[in-house]
Amino acid sequence: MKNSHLEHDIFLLMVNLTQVKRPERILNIFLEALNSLWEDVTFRLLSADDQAETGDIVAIETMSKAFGYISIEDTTSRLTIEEHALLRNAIRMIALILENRVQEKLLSDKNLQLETLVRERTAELRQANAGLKAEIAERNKTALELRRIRNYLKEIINAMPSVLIGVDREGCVTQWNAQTERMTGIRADEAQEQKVVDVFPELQGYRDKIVQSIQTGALQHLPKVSVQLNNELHYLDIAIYPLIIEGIEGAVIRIDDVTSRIRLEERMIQTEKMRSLGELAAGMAHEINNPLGIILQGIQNTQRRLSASFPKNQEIARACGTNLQAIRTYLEQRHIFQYLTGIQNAGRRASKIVTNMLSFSRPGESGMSQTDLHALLEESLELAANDYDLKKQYDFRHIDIVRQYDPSLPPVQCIATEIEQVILNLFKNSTQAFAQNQSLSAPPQIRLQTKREPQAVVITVEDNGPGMDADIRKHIFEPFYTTKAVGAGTGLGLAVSYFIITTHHTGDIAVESEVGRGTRFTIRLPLSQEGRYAA
Amino acid sequence: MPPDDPIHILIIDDEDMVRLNLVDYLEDEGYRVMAVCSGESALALLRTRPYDTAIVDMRLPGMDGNSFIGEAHRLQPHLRYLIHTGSTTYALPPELQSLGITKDHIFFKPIHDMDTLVEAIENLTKENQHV
Repeated sequence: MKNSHLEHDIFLLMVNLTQVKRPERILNIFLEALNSLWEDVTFRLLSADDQAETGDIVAIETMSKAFGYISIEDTTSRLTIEEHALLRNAIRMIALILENRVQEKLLSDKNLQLETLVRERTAELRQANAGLKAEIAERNKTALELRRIRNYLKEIINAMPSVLIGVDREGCVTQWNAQTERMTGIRADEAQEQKVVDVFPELQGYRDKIVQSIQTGALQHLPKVSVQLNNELHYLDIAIYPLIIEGIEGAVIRIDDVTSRIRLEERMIQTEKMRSLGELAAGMAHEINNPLGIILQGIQNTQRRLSASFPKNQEIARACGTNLQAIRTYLEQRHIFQYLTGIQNAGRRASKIVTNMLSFSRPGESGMSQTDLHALLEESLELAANDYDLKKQYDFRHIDIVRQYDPSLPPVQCIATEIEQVILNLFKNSTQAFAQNQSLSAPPQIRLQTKREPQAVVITVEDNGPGMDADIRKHIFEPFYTTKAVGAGTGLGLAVSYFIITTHHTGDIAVESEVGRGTRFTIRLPLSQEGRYAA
Repeated sequence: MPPDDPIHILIIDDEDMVRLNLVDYLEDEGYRVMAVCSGESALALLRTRPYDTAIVDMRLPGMDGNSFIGEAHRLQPHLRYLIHTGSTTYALPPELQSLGITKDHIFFKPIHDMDTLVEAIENLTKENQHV
């Protein structure tokens, strides 16, 4: 039945489309659904500007953005009440379904969003994890590198020939390298954290230097510290370096045993000193020879022209109104002849000294020959036994001679007379030492040893006499240095010997002696003089 | 002992007393001796008469001993030489060695006994007689 008051029904449906991105699409779907359901009814979507007419379904676009209205207007009266009611319900249902669908979509959108978020977060976490893993790998690599570098540094420090000790601000050991272990006999782990002066007692006297270095941040250097190590005198070069990293954190003590270097330096100073003395002496000698000649030749002529054996002397004396005999008698009584002899002897002595001093410089010519040293030593012994001057003080034959000759000793290229002079000089020195100390407990003995070396021979002359103290030993080779009484010798013997061995023969001569322990001279002569620098 | 024909000796040394001593000694030995103080004066003398032996100091004012000997040899090839030197490191240069001078003819100052000089002069004279 038609009901005319239902002619202008307008249905307003509100669908919440606020969350929906494209509400018009939803509306179109809705319209499609509606149009397909009722063929007799036309559902249209209108925008706000359109004029709504009765029966129009109005969806106000602008409002649909916020709310989404759909109005249904029945344009025909052909729908019965029951059909209207059905339509109303249907529309309501569709609207509900639509709303559900929208909600679902929103949810799924939300889910999507959530999923996206989760995916993103997961990706982030994965990335972070990967990053962390990379960092850990990097850290491990660095730790490995650090260990490697630590070991490398430790190797370097232990390879150093110097003693290296690290101490902290309180002077306790933090580092103790291999050389330190060797020098002290204390292991690194034992020394750790001990007071350094406790584990290295030789440093006790220098504790304040260590403190000073740490406090002032200044290097402390002690270039020549003498210590007793294994019952021997050693020289140490000690340096204390403050360790400054962040502020002063302690110090590093470096110690080097410079004993052999210092001995070498002393040896070089000695050589240099002798060389200067040698040059001085040689220069002087050159100048003195001329006046000496005039003295000696003057005396020789004077003695001659006073001699009775020259007829010419007698002649001229007579021509002067006197006679030679009277002159001679006068001169004799007035000791003139004695003066002349004195001058002559003095001149000869001076000349001998000058000749000795000349041997301090290079020899003018070589008289080198291949020499059997054992024969030479025996000859020198013979000379010593027969030496007149020596006999006056002490009979060389009282001395027990012990020979230790190397049977493989080859001949040596040398100036035989000069080497003999050196050996004889050493015998004389020993003899004179015995003479001055006759109260020695053991019978006097001289030990003669020869030894062959690859390129040289070594001759040792050792006595069990009184020996010398360090002071005398230091000066013993210097020209004119003598411990004998005035007039008992010029003190040139050992100086000449020194130059004969070192300058003429490019060899070595050294002395070892202690008071009460005798004296030992060691001579080293190269087998051959070929290849030395030309004079 | 010098032969009947006296030996003429020429001494060259720049020190008066060295010359005086040598001259007196050698004259006492019977030689005829002239002494000059330089190589140039000696060459002048060599142009006047023959000499048998020259005793030469190496250190001279003007020309040195080596140069003198070289010049003197040109003037008198038969002249023999003894070297009397104060130099401690004197070594014979080859040009003097080629004149027949050896280390036996070198006397280093101071000469302790001038008789050794006389011996050397006698030896040189004997060698010359053999030539």
